[in-house]
Order: sequence, then structure tokens, then C-alpha cells
Amino acid sequence: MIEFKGLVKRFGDRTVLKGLDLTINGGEILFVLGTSGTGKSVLLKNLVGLLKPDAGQIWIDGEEVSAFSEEQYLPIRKKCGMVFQHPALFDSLTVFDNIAFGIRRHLQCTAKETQQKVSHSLKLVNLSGVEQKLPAQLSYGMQKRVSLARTIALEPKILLVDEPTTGLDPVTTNAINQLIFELSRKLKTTSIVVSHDMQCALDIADRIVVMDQGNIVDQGTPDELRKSTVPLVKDFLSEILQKEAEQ
Amino acid sequence: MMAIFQPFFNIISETGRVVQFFFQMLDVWKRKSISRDLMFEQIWKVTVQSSATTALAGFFVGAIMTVQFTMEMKDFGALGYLGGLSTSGTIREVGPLLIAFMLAGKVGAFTSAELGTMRVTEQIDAIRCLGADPIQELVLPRFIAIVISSFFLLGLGLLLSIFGGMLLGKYFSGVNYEEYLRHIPTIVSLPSILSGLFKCFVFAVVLAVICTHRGYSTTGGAKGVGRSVVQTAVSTMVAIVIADWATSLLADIALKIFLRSR
Amino acid sequence: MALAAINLSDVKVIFEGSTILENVNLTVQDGDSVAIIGPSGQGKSVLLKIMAGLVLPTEGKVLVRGENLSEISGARRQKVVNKIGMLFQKNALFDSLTCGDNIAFPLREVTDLDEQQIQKVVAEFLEAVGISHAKNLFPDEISGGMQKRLGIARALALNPDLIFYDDPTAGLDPITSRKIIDLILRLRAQNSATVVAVTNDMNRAYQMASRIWMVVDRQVVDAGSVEQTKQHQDLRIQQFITGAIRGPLTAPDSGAIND
Repeated sequence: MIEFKGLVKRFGDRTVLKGLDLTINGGEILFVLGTSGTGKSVLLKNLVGLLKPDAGQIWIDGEEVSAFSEEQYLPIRKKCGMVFQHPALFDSLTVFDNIAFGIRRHLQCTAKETQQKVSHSLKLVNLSGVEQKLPAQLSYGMQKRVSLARTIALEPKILLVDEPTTGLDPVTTNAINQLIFELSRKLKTTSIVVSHDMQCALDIADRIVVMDQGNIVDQGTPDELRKSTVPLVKDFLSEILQKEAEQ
Repeated sequence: MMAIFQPFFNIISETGRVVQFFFQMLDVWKRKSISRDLMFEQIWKVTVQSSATTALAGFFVGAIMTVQFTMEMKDFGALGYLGGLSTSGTIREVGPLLIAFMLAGKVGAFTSAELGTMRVTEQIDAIRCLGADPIQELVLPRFIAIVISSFFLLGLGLLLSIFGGMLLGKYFSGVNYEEYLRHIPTIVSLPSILSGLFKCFVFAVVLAVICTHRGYSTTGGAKGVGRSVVQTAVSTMVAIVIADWATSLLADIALKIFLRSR
Repeated sequence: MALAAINLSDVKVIFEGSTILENVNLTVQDGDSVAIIGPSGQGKSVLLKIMAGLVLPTEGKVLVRGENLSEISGARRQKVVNKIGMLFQKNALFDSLTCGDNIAFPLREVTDLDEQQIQKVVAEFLEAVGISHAKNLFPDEISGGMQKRLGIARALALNPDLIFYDDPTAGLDPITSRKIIDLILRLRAQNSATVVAVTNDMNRAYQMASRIWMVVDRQVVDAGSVEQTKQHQDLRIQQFITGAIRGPLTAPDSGAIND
């Protein structure tokens, strides 16, 4: 279970998170939606210690982690796999070495086990056989999936995904979203997905959180959100509800 | 009114951050091992990247020194010392400075662009999430490589400058090869070699820490990377000139102590 | 018959040895607003840049108001080009200029207006796109949505009658995206311009287009109006607009799941 209590994050004189409270239950798929620049990615980065909050607490499975040192964060980062908005693959390494990078550091594995883990995680994202390619030789959608494979290779209990489908066409978008859904269920992870895609959130999320101006304006199951009276949520939903009404 | 002083405050706080980054690097270096493979790869890259330009520049430095000294020394009939003087000047001052500027323009800019790109495409964050330390994996190998390569390059530049000096000595000043070389061992003393090596080391450290720090702390997308590269170029040049002054002063004091002790 | 805004005949584009587009024969009529859709990496932006005269086709002809941009030059070319506005994917704003000066830039370059008149036009455009307060700020001091607005204002500053938008809503949240398209439509209505826009987002395409083209498999398919597109027989178009994972577009490369 993950819990944010009164989380505050400032950049210079700009306050991005304004005392945010949020509880995420084990095993659920949570979507975090909201307007651009409202601190959704910042939330994820605080969780794994890439950014430090200015105030507030972060609890992960009964541990308060916000004051942890870089060393203390190691087990947390093994537990919480993060998939970045950019594919963030290492350009000079092959796909195999990209995926093996984390395995070699986080897990004690023999070369053979590493090999197996790499090919298994590539299979999970339906990309077998590209081990020896360099990232630049793959399409953007494929790079995104290698990035996902690199993270799930560490068998994280918690999967954090930052804007997985921004800039992708509708077909690739749905394929990636479907993949995240299937992997979360298959690997029984708690998943937090930051996204702009309300349709997808309604389709696959257990719970949705909508953020605006550094705080949560509404949260609930997809069905609860559909009935929301919060203006921003209604705005997000308007086109979808309209389309559904047409059909 | 305060606006006039703002740039100075910025320089001071930036210097503070660079120093802090340097100590952070040393701390990581103390606690963790650096992969030999990564380091050799970087040394190879830096040396190969800069050797052609260094060789070319070294050759012409020797040539320039010879031409300049010839004009002064002909009147005193002291052309026999031509080789010794220009080599001494190159090793003490011009060589290290030249190598530093060469590296600043090429390797410094390249390194800060490379690390900056990795920063803005979240690769550095990804490294941390995958259980590795980016300072250990990325910054230190590059830092060490720049420092070590600078010695190789200094040697290379020096050889070529002697060669250039000899060639010009013969065809411009009428000093044959043996005469040119003869006084090099007598004039180029141990202190001047040590002072040259020390300078080279200090410049390389200054340059390496500035370019890695700038790249590593890049913000703001592709534009940010461009900004970092420009800042690296500017601040390394300024810092190297200041470091040159400081090391000259130090070398001078050291030389006096050395002479007195004899 | 009036000249078409743009006419592409037998256009073929080859980039570094691979064919990006071929047999493109299409016309944009005055007053049309065309949305170009299609899978990533198949040449939507290239098509747009060809129409705007920024990229020359390998073969074939591109006529803008009857003029072949690759054959004319000097004042005659400038006259056509001045009537074209373009919003780039990354906005291409000048970060050393304030927002106001970004809009003033093309006015100073091309028109004979004096400074007072320029400032008046700048104020009007900032007002029209709703960022009057940002006049003296620099582009990197405003949000992504506002940068888009500024980019639009600059593209429209010369009052072009033909405007190209390269993915105007990429990376923006749906609410901001919708506002940007609203803005594009409103400004289009004001000066009755012809609009061509690349987009990845079907909702935005439906919102703005009078015609939809799909770039796929090196071809450009004219799918017709929004209603015609929704009913279109081509399975690739159907798959794309519904976003179905399985279908003819499912190449191992498209990011879809293979069983």
C-alpha cells in the first residue's frame, strides 16, 4: 500500500504539489489524470526518490521513505519499477544490455538467468528477437515497449508509468494501454499510470484520480467518475459521453 | 542597481555548485569502484577525438615559437638556444594551455551535450531507478578519462611542437637539427617539466568538472542542452585562464623554495 | 474556374533511398479545412511540408494557387509564401524574443508597417489568442498550451489565407487541445482561410475537418468528410479511427500485440 500525506513540492517559487493526500491500495490499477503541468509526473518521481518533497510524508508498505538516502532508496526502486515518459533507453547499449542493466545491478543473477529474464520480459511485451538491435533502429512505439520490458524485468511489485501514450497514434496507443493492463494483472502489480487519456482510464483503471493545480479534485471508480459533478472532470468526459450517446 | 551585481552572484553560486559537485564526485569515487572498461572506453574516445587537432596545433605552436624567438635572438647571436627555449616555453605554459583549450572546445562541449541529452531524455533518472549511481557510471569515467587523456595529448602536442620547431628552425632560422635539439636537455629543467605537468593536471580537472557538472545538471529540453554546451565553453575558458594565473603563482613560489633549498 | 488552393499531381517523395509517398494526386479547395491523419512515421509531416513548399518532392508537381513553388523565385515566390502561415510541431518560437516581439518579427520582416501599427497588430493577436498578459514574457516563461497559442498568433500575423498546422495539440491535455482547436476554427472563420492540419487525435480531426486524408502505406487516401470517414469502407481507416488493436495496420512495427 502506498500513501501520500500532505505532499508539497516546489520548484523555485512555483508550488507544483500543494499538500496532496492520496492512498493507493495493493494490486489496483490507478490512473492519474489532469491538465498539463499540474504535477502528475512529479508525484511519481517523488515516490521513487528522484525528487524530494518539500513537506509531507510518503509511506510505502509501512515505511516512511521521504527522508531516505540514495542508498536506502535502492530497495524501494527495486520494488517500484518506473517507466519514463521518454523511452529513456541508453543509446549506446543494445536492447539486451538495456534490459540487463537493471537486472545486473538489482538482482544477483548468473549470466544464464539474466539471459532468461531478458528474453522473458521481451516476450511479455511481444517483442522477442530484437535483443541485438540498438534503440535507434526501433520505432518509437517499440522503444516504449523495450522501456516497459526493462522495468518489468526487475519484477517490481509496484509499476509506475509516466504518460505511456503521448504522441502515439490511436492504434499504438490502445496496444500499449492494453499491454499495461495485461501485465499489471499477470504480474499482480500495483500500477500507477499518469496519462491524458480519459477513454483508456475508463476502460482499464480500477480507480481514477483527477488532478488540477497541484491537488486532487476528484477520485473514484470509472463509474463513479462518470457521474462526477466536478467541472474539470465533466470537461474531460464530455467528448466521450457525447460519443457514447451517439452510438 | 542590484541588477549590475546579479551576474557576479550567479558566477559565485555556480562556482559553489561546481565545487560541491566535485566533492560529491570524490565521495562516490572513494566509496565505489569505477568500471575499468567504461574508463578505458572513454579514454580511448577522448584521445582519438582530439589527437589530430592537438597534433596539428602542436606543430604550429612549435613553428610559431621558433619564428618569434628567431627575430629576438638573432641580434644576440643566441640562435643555438632556440630549441631549448621554445621547448621550455611550450612545456611550461603554451602546451598545457593549448591542450586545455583544445579539450574544452571539443571534449568539454561533447561531454556536456552528451550528459545533458541523457538528463533531459530521463536516461539519468532511469539509471537511478535501475539501481545504479549515475555519478559512478557516467560522470566519473568521463572525468577520469579527460584528466588522463590530457597527459597523452600534452605529450603528443609537445613532440609535434618540437618537430615543428626543428623544421622551421632549419628552413627559417638556419639552425640545423642537432643544434636545435642540443640545448633542450640543458634548458628544459625538471621544475619546468613538473610545472607543465601540474598545470596540465589542474586545467584538465577544472575542465572536466565544469563540463560534467553542466551536462549533468541540464534542465529544459533540447534548448537546455544547447545552453549547457555554450555555458560549458564560456566557463571553462574563463576558469582555465584563472587557473593558469593561480598555478603560475604557485609554480613560481615552489620554484623559489626549490632553488633556496639547493 | 477559380484556382485551387493547393494541387498535388503525381507527387513522389524518396528520402535516403526509401519511398515515403508515391502517386499522390490531391487538391485542397479554397475554404477547405483538411485534417491529415495516419500511423506514426508514415509521412504526415512530410506531406504537410511539401504542400508548404518547405520540402521539394522527388517527382511530381505541387501548385500553390497555380504557382509551382520550386520553379518561381524572388518577389513572385515571396508573394505566394507570404500568404502561407505555418505552425511547427515544436512551435519554433524565438526564445531570445519576447512573446510580443515573436509576433512582431514577421511583420517587421515583410510589411512596411511603422512601429505603432505593428504594436497595434501584435496587441490584437495576443488578445485574439488570449495571452495579452504575456506580451513581455519570454516563450520559456509560459506554459506549453500558451506557447502553442503564441505559435498560432505568429503563424497568423501576416494574415495568410493558407495555414498549415503540424500536430497543433501534441502533448497537450484534452481540454487544452480542444481549446486550441476552437481557437484555430475561430480564427479561420474570421479571415476565411484554408487550413491543413496534421493530427494524431481523431477527436480533434472530427472537431476541425471538412475533409480527412489518411497517409498510410506510402499513399494518401482521401476519406472525405467526417461523416464519410466514419462510414469509410477502407479497413485501415476503420481500424485507425476506432483505434482497434487488431487489423490491417497491425505490423510488428506498429506497436500492436501479436499473439
